[in-house]
Amino acid sequence: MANLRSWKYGDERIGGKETVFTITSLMIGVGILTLPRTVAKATNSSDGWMSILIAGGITLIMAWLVAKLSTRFRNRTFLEFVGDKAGKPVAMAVGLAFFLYFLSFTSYITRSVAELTKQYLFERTPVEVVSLGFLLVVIYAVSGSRVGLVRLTMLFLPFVLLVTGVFLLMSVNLFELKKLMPVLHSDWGSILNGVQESIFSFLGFEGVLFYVTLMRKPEEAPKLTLIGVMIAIVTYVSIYLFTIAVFSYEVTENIMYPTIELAREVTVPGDFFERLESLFLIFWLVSIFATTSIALDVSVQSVRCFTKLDKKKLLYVLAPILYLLSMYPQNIVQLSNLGKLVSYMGIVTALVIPLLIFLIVKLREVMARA
Amino acid sequence: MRKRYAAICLLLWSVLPLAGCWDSMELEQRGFVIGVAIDEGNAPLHPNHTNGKQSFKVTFQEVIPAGLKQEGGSGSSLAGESYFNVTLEGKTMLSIIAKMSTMTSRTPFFEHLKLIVVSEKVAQSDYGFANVLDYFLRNNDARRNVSVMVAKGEAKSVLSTVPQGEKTPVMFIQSISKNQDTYRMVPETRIGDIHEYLLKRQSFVIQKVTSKDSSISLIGGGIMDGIKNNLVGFMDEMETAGFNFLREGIRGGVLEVDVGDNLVAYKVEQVSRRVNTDLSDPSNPKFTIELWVEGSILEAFERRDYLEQPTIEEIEAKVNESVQRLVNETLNKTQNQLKRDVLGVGNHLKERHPGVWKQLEQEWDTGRNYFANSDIQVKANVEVRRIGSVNNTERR
Repeated sequence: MANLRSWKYGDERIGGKETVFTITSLMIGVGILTLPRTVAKATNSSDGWMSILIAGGITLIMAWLVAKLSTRFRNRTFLEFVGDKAGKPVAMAVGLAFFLYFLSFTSYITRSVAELTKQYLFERTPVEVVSLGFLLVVIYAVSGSRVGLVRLTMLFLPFVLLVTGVFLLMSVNLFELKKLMPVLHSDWGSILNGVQESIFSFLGFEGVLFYVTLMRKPEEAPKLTLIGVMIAIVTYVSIYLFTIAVFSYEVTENIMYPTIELAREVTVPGDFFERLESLFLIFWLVSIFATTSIALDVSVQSVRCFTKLDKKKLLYVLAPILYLLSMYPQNIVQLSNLGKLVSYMGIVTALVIPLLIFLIVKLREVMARA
Repeated sequence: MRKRYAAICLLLWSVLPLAGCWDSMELEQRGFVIGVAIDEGNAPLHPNHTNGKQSFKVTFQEVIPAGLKQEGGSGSSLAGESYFNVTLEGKTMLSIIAKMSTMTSRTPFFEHLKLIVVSEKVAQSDYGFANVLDYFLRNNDARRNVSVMVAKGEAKSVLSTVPQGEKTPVMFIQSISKNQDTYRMVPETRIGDIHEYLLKRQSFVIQKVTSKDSSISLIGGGIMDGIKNNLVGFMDEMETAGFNFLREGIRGGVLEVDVGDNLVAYKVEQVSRRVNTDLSDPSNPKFTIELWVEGSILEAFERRDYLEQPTIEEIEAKVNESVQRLVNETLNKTQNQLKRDVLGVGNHLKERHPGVWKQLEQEWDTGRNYFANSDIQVKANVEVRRIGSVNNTERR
């Protein structure tokens, strides 16, 4: 037994910390860069942090529900579980929904990464080339071990959070509390608009359904999921408060990527260390690479209830679809429309489906008892 | 064997992308623009051309990296070698920059842009000010901490001043504006902050630069209208001082007061303010701005015992008077002459009394001009904290 303990990472299982970071990583995607703008625009005041908190609260409840559901799998995969409880056709429908959502999610992130790097890093490299490169690396990662992907997020996400924390703290001399005033002066309509916008940035946590089977202790899933969601909430709220207090909401709603602009604003006295945003972008890129890989992996896992093809062959089939879909939007407006479409699909997979399955499971229990 | 061939082929293929790096650009090919001066161009080429209402004459200051190097004391005094200016005309910044690429050996690059000087005429024209800044905000090369100034007269000549103690005129102006010990200049106005004012439709004060016979001064400030975003007037030295007191913008400065028959110089160290609002009549708001001024005596020609409380109190009263005088000049300028709220009292209403602000917002400094009609009282509390290292210098 002592020998087995030292062979900690050889068992193809994931531990507690890895689960937490996987969940956070699935949520913190492109949203971390654009959330302050979309929320400031929707609420049209500095009270958007309330929207983020409310959306975070809803996410907490849903994530807890999802994780609670997953403790009942008992070595079955999510879709096998659904099949046992609600019948094969339902399982197939659920599988299709998850497949479509995570596939388009992957495409959307791929294109967003390409657009962002075009704006800030490679001004003259065509987005087609950046997307292709990014997608190839993601596909390579997905064709390997699933636990490997989880360990990637464990490796990268803490750095993103650390760099974010550092530049937020360093922007303290630009922080003006009075830009957050007036507090609590928005009507509920605009707050709810903000809730809708910010809930989009919390979607993705449902991916955990496909990883519970890999966990060393699946019974811990609810607790760990809640911690993961909490990290995302704290990150979002603090980024939002800082961007508003530095830029004011009028400016924030006009900046394309407020989080990056905030990192650009930070200078250390002495002009020695100026380009903090490149550090942030680098860590963000590797972290989003891990996120995208997990999303694609979930998509592949959920399509496997339809076909007997093995993972690698399936990826050969999916790769061109992914690439074409990511190249479909012709401009930044269409890209953000695609993002909205993906988010609405995400509402189905993250909120509607888990809730329905939970109800079905409960109903069957009650009926069995009766 | 076949595997080995395949591997070699793959290796050779991987050479291909190496040659095709789109974004590779050598440092030597980049021309670092550190300053831009924008003047009004000649009359529009086509009078009824609606897209290009205005043309601009833009001067770019580019550094010559070789000239910036310190070469063991020799040659470093040749300031003329470390920069050059190019002036071009066009209707949009982008087209002017494109023209510039055909004339200079390096591609212009704005990552190290430090200063944008807008001429009085461009700033006065309707929306011209925001138009010239659009490129620098939209383009992600330039940062949001670039200083923006308004030049009294021509902007181009500001970039041709002889720098003293610095390598280029832009660096010279930058280091002047960073000086901490005077209230005669407006604190640095960054393009990011200006963007905020422009979006909030709030009147604001912008740094002013005056060049005269190859020397420059940053005394005073320009007042920009929040609705049309154009320059409506300048503040002189004293009005700027009062403005700095009112906005907590003080970074040091000296007040000379008469005590007895002699002068005592009071060094301002810190000013904090609190705005009290009386909204008993919402359409005629009353503001009381309380100022807490802290400082010390650093020069005194009057021989007194400065360790006596009455002496300190007398000086405090005198300083108070002169703060009041400065502040009243500023209030007179902003409320009575220009009728633009650059003091931030409107913003204070917006932050603290959003309900009242909603009613007054539309005609705050236009139309019925609630700002000009509001009653603003200033109450200063002056403290002399220290008197320096000696009590007196001589015995009279």
